[in-house]
Amino acid sequence: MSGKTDVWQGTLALMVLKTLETMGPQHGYGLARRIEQTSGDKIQLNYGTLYPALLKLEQEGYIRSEWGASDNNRKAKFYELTKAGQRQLRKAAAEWEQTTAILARFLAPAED
Amino acid sequence: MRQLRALFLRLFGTLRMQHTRAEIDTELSEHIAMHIADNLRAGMSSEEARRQALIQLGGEEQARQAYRDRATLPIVEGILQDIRFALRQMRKAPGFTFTAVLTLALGIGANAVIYTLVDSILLRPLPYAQQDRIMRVVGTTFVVLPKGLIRALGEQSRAFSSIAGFGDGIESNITGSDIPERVFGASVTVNALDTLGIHPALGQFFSKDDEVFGQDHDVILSYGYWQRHFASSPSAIGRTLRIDGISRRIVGVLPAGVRFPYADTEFLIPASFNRADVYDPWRPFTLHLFGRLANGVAPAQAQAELRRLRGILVHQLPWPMPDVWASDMTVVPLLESETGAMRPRLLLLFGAVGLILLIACANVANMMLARATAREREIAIRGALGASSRRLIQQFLSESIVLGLAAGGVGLFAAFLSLRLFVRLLPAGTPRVETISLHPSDILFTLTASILTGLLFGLIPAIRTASINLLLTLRSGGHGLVGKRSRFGASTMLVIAQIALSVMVVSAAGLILHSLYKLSQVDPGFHTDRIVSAEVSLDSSACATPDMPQHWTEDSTMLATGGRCSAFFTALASRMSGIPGVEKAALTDALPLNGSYSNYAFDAENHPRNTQTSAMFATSRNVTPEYFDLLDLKLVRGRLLDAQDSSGTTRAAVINEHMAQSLWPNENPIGKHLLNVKDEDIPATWNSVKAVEVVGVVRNTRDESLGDDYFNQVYLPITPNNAQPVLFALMRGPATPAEAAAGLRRTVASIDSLVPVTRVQTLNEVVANSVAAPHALAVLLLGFGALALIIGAVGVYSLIAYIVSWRVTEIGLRLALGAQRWQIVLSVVRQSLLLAGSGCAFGIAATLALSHVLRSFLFEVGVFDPFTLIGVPLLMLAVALAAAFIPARRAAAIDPIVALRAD
Repeated sequence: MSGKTDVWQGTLALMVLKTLETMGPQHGYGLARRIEQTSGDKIQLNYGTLYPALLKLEQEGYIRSEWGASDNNRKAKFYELTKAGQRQLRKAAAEWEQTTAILARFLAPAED
Repeated sequence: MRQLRALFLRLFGTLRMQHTRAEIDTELSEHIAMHIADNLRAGMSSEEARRQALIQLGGEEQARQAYRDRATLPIVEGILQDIRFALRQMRKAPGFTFTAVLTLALGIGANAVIYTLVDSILLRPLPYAQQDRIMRVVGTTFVVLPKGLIRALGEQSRAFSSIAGFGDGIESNITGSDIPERVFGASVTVNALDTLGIHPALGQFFSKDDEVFGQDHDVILSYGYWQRHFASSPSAIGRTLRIDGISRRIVGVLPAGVRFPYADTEFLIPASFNRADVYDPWRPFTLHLFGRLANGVAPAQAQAELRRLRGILVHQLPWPMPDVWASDMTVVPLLESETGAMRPRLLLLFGAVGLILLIACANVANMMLARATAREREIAIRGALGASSRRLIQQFLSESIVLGLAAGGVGLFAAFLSLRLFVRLLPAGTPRVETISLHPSDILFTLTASILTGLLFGLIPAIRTASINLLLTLRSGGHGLVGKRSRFGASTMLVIAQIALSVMVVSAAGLILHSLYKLSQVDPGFHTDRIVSAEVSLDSSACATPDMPQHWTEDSTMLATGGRCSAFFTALASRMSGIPGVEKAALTDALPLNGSYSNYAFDAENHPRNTQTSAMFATSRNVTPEYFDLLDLKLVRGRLLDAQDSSGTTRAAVINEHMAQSLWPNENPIGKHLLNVKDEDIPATWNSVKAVEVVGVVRNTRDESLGDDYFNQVYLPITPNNAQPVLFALMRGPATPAEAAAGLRRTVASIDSLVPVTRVQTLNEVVANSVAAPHALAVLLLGFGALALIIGAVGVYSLIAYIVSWRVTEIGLRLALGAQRWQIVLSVVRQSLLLAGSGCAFGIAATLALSHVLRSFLFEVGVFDPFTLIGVPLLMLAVALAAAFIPARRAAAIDPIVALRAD
């Protein structure tokens, strides 16, 4: 669809963790917009799937949430990375890099 | 770990459903609001802004649902929903709920009580370390063994890590304070308590020194005795108690909860060996054998080893033993050996209450079916609205499980309240009765049973209801003119099953009741009315008797006091007849029918034997001459014992008919001789000097229970040489038991103020005690039979009433067409009787099929007992008639005009 990519299974959690690390505490809507921006609007995020993903991360202890006020003074839930979340982010990022590196080798044109 | 945490949080979210929902809703609506605001800024129309926001969310409701599902556990949520629904349904039909819960609670409560008894008595481990490794050694050719053999077996055995022995419970006088007290104790080998793997609550157990005669004046107290008499004071250790005239030092206290070897044992004394006497290890034969299996050894291996060792060790005895003696040593777990006799009775009761629960299940299943029929429309509508039949079944089962659990709660509470009552119904001497209590495992059992019960009675209605034909049900609106027969098929089957099960329980009760009646009709062989018995006990050291366990006496006091007990009892015998209200009085060392007789191993004139074979056995009683007259024990031949026999100058014995018949079938037994094997200097060798002469033959009596066969019986005079320290006084006359006992106490006190008179009971009570076990079983089974009958009757009643209510239109039409009211009544009653009749047929057939289970409980009553086989069906038909009474009257009272207009 119109050149935009759906989010792959499992990568959304990594994107959320990374975005929270860069931006600090953020509410769900802000997070969603930011992920789209970071992807250079290449990603079409189904916002409905973001919230269960956030909740799962929170239940697993990687992020925590708190009610607060948004920029235009609306009530919103702000999500923030925990220590465990930071560790998980480093671990998942390393795994992801390794995976893409391996895949890259497979897909690279044969040289010899 | 993280998954577990998530699961826990989701469970928590489920329980705080309202809060969770509110948060989700707020967060999502704020999200939408922010998105719309952004879209408006981007220049969209307000309508388009909202549309785009919702599209990107993937639909508001869908997003909310996905979010919620992650926040909670949908499965648990469904179950909670079902439970709430079930509770609402139960509240909506209080009559149904009350009847169903009550019926089930009766069944579950009865099961909870009996399971608690089974668990407390049969299943719960004994309070010993690795108690399943402790084995009793029992056999039919021996009961007790000499301590020397037990020690030798312990030294030789590899299969047992330790072998020990304990003696019979012996009542002793404990003096210390001014009032002498009768207390039960037992002797044990010094390693007995270590073999059990227990540790003293205070002090220590016996040491190796206690095994040495002369250094064995130690005693170990039970926890209860220590609590009562020493106020749980540690200073009890080292103090002395006078037990049967011997001062013993308290060395230790058993741990709380340990009752060993018997429930009433209050003290233990060591079995010691007298090194100066080579015969000492081999007599008396007083100890029961038990041991702890070595690691990895199976009971069967241990048994094989014991039998092999016995063959070798038996030659260590200083006299030859019969070949068969102790050759059938059998290794049985200690727990099983203590409770074995109780097991079949408890399991029979367990079976009965299991059937009752099934009856209750069938009953409630039927009620649920009737209700489901009334709810058919509701269910059809739910089905039409898209509820899957799986979901409907789940909902129905949740309903019945909630119902089952509610009944389980009520039943458990009832069981808790009535447990003491049931314990009181158990016969005296029931093993481990003091440990009976409701344990967590019993509660768990009851709740599990409740859930299973719910599943069981809920399954048929659930499946039937979920599979109803939507279209037909919705179209027909109500019921048609004539109630469809097929619609009652399942219900009819359930009621027939219910009656069949009731018949089984009631038949079992009937058979056992009939047995009890037969037992009560048995002639005990003696007079029992207006006879009072009481125990008069001197210190066991007061008499010198050759067959008394040596460690119960001190040889220094033996000779000095030897004459005292004979003088005492001679004086008592002569003064007892002077007690007001007592016409006849006698003394005996063993009451009839209470199993307290002595064993008399003997050889008889003209019956030679070699040492390899076993001597003959009889039960023996030492009595004063008045014993026969007092009990109306009729003389058949010869003469009774007389005063001259009591003086010890003659050697006379009276035997019973059975013994005379079996020893000298076609000869005159009078003048023949018997020889106690104890009086044989060389085994199996006749000794005419010590032999006694048969002077008379009396009628047979029973020794232990009315159900027993007759056995050889010997009556010997009480003489100065065989005087026993404990005798029973029998008094016959118009005096009440209390008056007779008071008179006896005065008389005893006038001779020796320190001698206690205990265990006052009438001879009728002694006879009643001998049938206590079958009596208790009959009472319990009768109670359960009545319960089964009531629940069964309710089942028949509800089905008939239900059928009548369905047939109202039909009956109205019949009446309008000219049917007579008595014909209507007849058709209703006939239906009820048909149900009962077919139920009876199945029930009787099942009872007969299971007859082998019952046979061992019956006495002179066959399983094809006409009394039961005719009585029980008659009872059932009567119950069916009664159950049909109200519905039949209602059917007869139907007004055809009202009935036909109603639809």
